[in-house]
Amino acid sequence: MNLITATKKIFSVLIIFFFFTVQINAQISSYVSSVTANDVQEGQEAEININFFQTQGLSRVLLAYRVFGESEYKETEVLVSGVNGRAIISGDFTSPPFIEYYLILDKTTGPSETYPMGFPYESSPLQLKVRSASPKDAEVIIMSPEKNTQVAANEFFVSISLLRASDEIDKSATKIFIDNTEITSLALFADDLIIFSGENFPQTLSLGGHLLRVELYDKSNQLYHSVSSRFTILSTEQALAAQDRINYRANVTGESRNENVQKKSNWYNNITLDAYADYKSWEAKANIYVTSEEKSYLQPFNRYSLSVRNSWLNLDFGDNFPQYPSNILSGKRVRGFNGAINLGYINLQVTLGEINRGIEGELVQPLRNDDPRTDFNIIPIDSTKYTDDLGRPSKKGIVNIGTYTRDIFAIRPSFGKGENFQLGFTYLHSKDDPKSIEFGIKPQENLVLGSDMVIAFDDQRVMFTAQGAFSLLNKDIATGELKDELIDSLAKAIGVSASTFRTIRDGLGSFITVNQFLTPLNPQELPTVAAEAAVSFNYFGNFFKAGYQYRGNEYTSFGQNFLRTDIAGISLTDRLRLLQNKLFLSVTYENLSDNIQDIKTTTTNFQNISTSVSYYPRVDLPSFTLSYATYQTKNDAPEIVNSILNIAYVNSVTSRTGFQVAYDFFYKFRHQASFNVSYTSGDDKTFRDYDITNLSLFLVNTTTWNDRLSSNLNISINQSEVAKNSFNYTTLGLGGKYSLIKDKWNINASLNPSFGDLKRNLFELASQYFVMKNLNLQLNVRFINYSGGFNDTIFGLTTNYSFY
Amino acid sequence: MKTIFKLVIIALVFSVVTYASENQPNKKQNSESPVAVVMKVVKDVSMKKEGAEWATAKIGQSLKTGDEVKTGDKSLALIKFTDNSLIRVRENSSLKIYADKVDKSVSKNTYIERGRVGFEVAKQENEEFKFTTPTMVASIRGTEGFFDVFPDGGSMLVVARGLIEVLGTLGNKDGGNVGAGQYVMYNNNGDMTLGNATEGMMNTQRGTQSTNLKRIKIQTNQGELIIEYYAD
Repeated sequence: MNLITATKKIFSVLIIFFFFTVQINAQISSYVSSVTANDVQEGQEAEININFFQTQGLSRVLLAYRVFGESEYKETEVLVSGVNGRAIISGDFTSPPFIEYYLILDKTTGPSETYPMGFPYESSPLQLKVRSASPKDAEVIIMSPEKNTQVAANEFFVSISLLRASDEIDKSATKIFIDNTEITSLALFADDLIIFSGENFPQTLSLGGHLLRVELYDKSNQLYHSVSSRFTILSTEQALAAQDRINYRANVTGESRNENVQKKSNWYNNITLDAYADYKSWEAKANIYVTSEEKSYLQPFNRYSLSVRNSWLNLDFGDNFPQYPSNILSGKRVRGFNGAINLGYINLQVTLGEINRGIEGELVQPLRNDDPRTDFNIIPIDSTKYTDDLGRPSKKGIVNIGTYTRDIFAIRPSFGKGENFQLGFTYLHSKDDPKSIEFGIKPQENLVLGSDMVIAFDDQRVMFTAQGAFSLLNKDIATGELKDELIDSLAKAIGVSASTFRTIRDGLGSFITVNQFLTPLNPQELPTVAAEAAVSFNYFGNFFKAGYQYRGNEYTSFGQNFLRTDIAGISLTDRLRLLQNKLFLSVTYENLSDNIQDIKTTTTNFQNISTSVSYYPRVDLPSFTLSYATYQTKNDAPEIVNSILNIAYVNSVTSRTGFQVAYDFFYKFRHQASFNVSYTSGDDKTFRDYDITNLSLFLVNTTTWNDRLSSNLNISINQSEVAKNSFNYTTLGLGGKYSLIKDKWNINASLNPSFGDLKRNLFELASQYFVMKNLNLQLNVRFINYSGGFNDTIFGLTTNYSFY
Repeated sequence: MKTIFKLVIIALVFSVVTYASENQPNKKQNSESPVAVVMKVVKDVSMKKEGAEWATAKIGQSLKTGDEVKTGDKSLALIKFTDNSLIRVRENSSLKIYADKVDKSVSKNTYIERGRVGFEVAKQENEEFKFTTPTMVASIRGTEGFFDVFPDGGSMLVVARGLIEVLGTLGNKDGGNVGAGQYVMYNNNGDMTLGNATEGMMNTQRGTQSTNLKRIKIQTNQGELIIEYYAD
């Protein structure tokens, strides 16, 4: 194809077909423009992409998510690059019917905010639909060659088991392809087993990668399901060498991008290296991400990590996210070392590193020593270094407060493999280094002790899990340990022996600084205890789990900043899989209350019920999910409705109904259609009358015209009303993907105009060109035109090189 | 709360009834169906079809109930069942496969006459995977480990992952559960010993998973002589 023809095709494609994205634009935020998440299959990694209006003023962005039936949100870091953000939810947590999530935006000044805004009181979380792993996938067992494996040419053969195939299948009609060449007639069919010997192949299979595809047909000869598997053929010499050699692969991506957002132009440059190597039972992974956004006055943007592991040893260096019991250390980035020895009977995990980088503050103005002001940002300064406006030594000054270096150490010995039993004990100590910066206030120190246990029977069909932790927090260690003189006067005042006091200080002082800023002051009320226990049963396709949790109002772990404290209550979850995994029913009930230390004037009760029904037929019929959830929040303040005098009264009910239907069908061409509708209604029964409603509809159809061209058309309608202020808009989407030169040059484009209260036109273009099989260039362009006449443009060039 | 508990009870009852109705045995039996395939052969591996003579085993050959496999010195065979369960027949071992296919499940019983057999058994839902030796029967649901059947008829099972129910076939016919990291041994009188696996046993377990071929090249006047062998 010559360049002119190719260029003509580009323009034709741009005009006619545009690329598809699912956008969720329900809430109005000054930071987040949109959140994009494609549905995922159970057990697969989920990727959430965030487009920001701006990121200036944000120090960190986290994604909080929870699996259906879980009461607790887990957090993971959003990797922010310019106005784009990306977060990954591990496949361990993607289970049907959906994952709920929201964003936590930490601002450099002021309190954090969430997206959707006002979560959890004024808005509901976003949902990511998780499809059940297609039951049809389990109907075909590819015994050989195993998926993504290497096989010697002289040992190559195909064996496929249809043991689990549905009764609707005509096994003799099964078709087998290698690299799109049908080999069915050369295969031997023996009841459930299909065997194909490589020697029968009409053309010798070349060394290198190949694709095996198996097509199942029903008794009316309609395509029922298709399964693919990749494998690599090696020469006998290569296969022998492969067993003993070091296998490695690496991927380097460099990006240079310009963002012109709100009339501010910024260049971003970053480079990412992912490398992997294995040798026998050992494997190593390395990741380096270096970006021009790394600044000494911000927490690190760069990431460096190296992991080495085998079946019993795990060593992580650099930036890592160690997993301890969730109440103690989970989802927190630690720059340092994390290691684990897993011997089964006895295991040990150790983590050592830094969770906050020291960032120096700034002296704004040295003050006269007799200045009467006592603002929080007026701190003692070194009078030998600084002078006031009269040139005299100054002992205090107004500062922009910095951040101390915060180190962490955690260790968890555990006993038992965890399949049937495990008992673990965790010790966590974390402390700010007061000497790490000059202008800081109130360095803190934290100590957490915890234990956890798993007991399981009958192949984990019955499982009991429990964890408990006790924390101590010193909110200001700048003054050091309690002095003897202060102990004497305190002991006298409260009538306790001073020697007892000293013994406690000296004993506890080996672990944490003991002074008047240490909490809890009253341990009898268990304000710094966090505990939870759950029992689950998994029989007859029914998974039932009952749990109880308790978290005191002062429980603090520096390894887990986003734990909801001052809460206690139960949760019940039941999930049924019926009709041979075609029908899924789920229900969760949660009843939680705060004020467990009775220190508030009112106690608030939270009652949440979530239900869903999903149906995935095996024949070519639409699948659907219907969900309903209600969140009730009410406290025990007097119910004087419509009185502005009763500002403490809280009483609201938010309900959310959703329906999703998806249909893959063939009408002249292959189509994938889906329709989602969601209605949220929040009724604030207090005088505030902060009612919210939101209706969103989304309809999309993707058509695959041939193996080079696909297109999609979508419409999204969003109608919101928050406290009687409405915000309605409609977005159309037209997109397409075209391979200009097959396997060489691909182009994606989309146009998404929005009408109504949100008036903007979003145009996106991505062109990917493979210079070599392992080297490609990608051009990305994003253009947003707003109704006010101003535009945002983003364009960037990405280069990706793989070697192995 | 009461309503929720009622709903949960109803759901449990409903699921049990539905599950039971979905799993009514459909008595479609077929003993002629192949139930396993020879995946790999190293050196001296023979196979005996029911009623036939011993013959050299080949990669891709299917196995039916009643078929036997044996290995010679420094030899190895990998056999995969149609549910993706894998067994590794190490050197100087012999075994016989029994399988009953009922509808979409295959109940398997592998009789190990002698030698060492490693296994990685896929999770068994409504099926059975049994191993029988001269002194014990082990019922497996989804796990890894290996069997040793000694020349005197005694046998040992080491479990690397999962839980296995065992029962002696001689003497007191003692039985019990063997968990991950444990072993059970039955001598030829049927006496049972259960304990924690030693490091040596676990190393052997790792060794049973190895199917590494080694190659030595010797340059001779007549050309290159290549010797292939597999290393434990």
